[in-house]
Amino acid sequence: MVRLGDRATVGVPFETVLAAAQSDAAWAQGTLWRTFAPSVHGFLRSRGSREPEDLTSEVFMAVFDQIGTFRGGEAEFRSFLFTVAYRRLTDELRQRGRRGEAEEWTPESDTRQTASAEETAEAQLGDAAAIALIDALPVDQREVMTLRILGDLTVEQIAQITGKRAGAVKALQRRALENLRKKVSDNPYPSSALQR
Amino acid sequence: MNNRRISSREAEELASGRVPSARRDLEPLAALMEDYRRAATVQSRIQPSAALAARLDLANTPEFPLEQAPDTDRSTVAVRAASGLFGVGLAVVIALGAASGAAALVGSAGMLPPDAQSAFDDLVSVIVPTEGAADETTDDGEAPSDTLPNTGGDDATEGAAEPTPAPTPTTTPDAEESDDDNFGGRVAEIKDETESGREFGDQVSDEAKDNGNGNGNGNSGSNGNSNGNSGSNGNSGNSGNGNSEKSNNGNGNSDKGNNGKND
Repeated sequence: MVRLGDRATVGVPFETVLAAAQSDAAWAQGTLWRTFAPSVHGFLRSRGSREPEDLTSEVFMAVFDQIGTFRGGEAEFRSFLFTVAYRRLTDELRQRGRRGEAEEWTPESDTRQTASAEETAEAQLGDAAAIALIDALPVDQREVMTLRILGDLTVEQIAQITGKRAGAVKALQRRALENLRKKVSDNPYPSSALQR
Repeated sequence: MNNRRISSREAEELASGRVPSARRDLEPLAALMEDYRRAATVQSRIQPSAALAARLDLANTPEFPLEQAPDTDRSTVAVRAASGLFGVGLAVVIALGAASGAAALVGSAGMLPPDAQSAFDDLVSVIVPTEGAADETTDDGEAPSDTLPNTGGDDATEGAAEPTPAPTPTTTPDAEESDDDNFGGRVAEIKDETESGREFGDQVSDEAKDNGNGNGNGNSGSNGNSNGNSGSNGNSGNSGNGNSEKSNNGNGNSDKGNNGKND
């Protein structure tokens, strides 16, 4: 018989996990970490955080400290999580600006990306290409697209998090997609990815 | 290249990794979105900080992927599964848990009476598709209110999203798929073949165990949760109450002590 302590389980409802996390159950908070940390990390990395792994941990510590008063479902939790992530990122970027450090991360300066691009498997090449294309977007467009894709947030949620109008977010999203479409047409992207 | 402009609706679909209808020319873009979603999260094999690791105790915490059924009312399905399969007793427990949080907490801590604990364990390990639950929602929580950080004191902004109604479930217990991966359908089949709830629970658990051995982590998110949740949240607008990074009204969650924090 499968019990909570077993590894082999079918998906657990978010509400169950949330309720347990709010009671400080380690398994539940661990589930939230495993589920959402990669997306948060991906967003922070794409926006130029110097230590995205550390910052991701900070985000989750803050979230878990406040989770007892959280109300809502999974969509609201995502919005809450990325709101905290965005604020922490903003703090980091401002502090670096005040210290006179280089502002924005650029794809060229990220040696980690170079290492990924050297992998030879077809899927990995496609993945590296995808990351490179998104990372090459102007910062505002990249921010909207990463929140949209990685955070699975709506335009309205992104608008609230970033302090932009919904119309502005939509415009950035559309411009980013047009930008990407042009790049993809210049350098054909393997649409077979959809068939994988 | 088809130079036809990408509409807002098409942009939404693309961002969710779907190819807009009648826009095959946008297939590469949709593929790009999906690849990025997968790559950016898979490559993030991150480790928590020492403090967080101690809190999470990941080494001793088994993995529980979040339910990945974007069109299924999750908690309603779970409760129906409980009441239909394991008797009124567990349904009462779950109802109490929903009301007070106590029973759910006790269940998650493994402290329910043996029979109820067994049923609770089975409950959280089973997803049973149902029909006729179209109008029920899981989301009766308050909406988050997003307040921008006031790190400089000048740019605080308030806003909040309205609560999101849960997606409409579309699965049925009489699904005709014969695919062995259709665990929900298999559960329904087993249900029809057994008389005892406990016997059924045991069979379901065995099936779940076998099925779970083939599953990895589910990242919801959009994301590896194949982002089973992608694109259908339906949040819109702002409302007053809920969770806020920095709350001025005393409600919800506030991120304290981070403003002006130095590395």
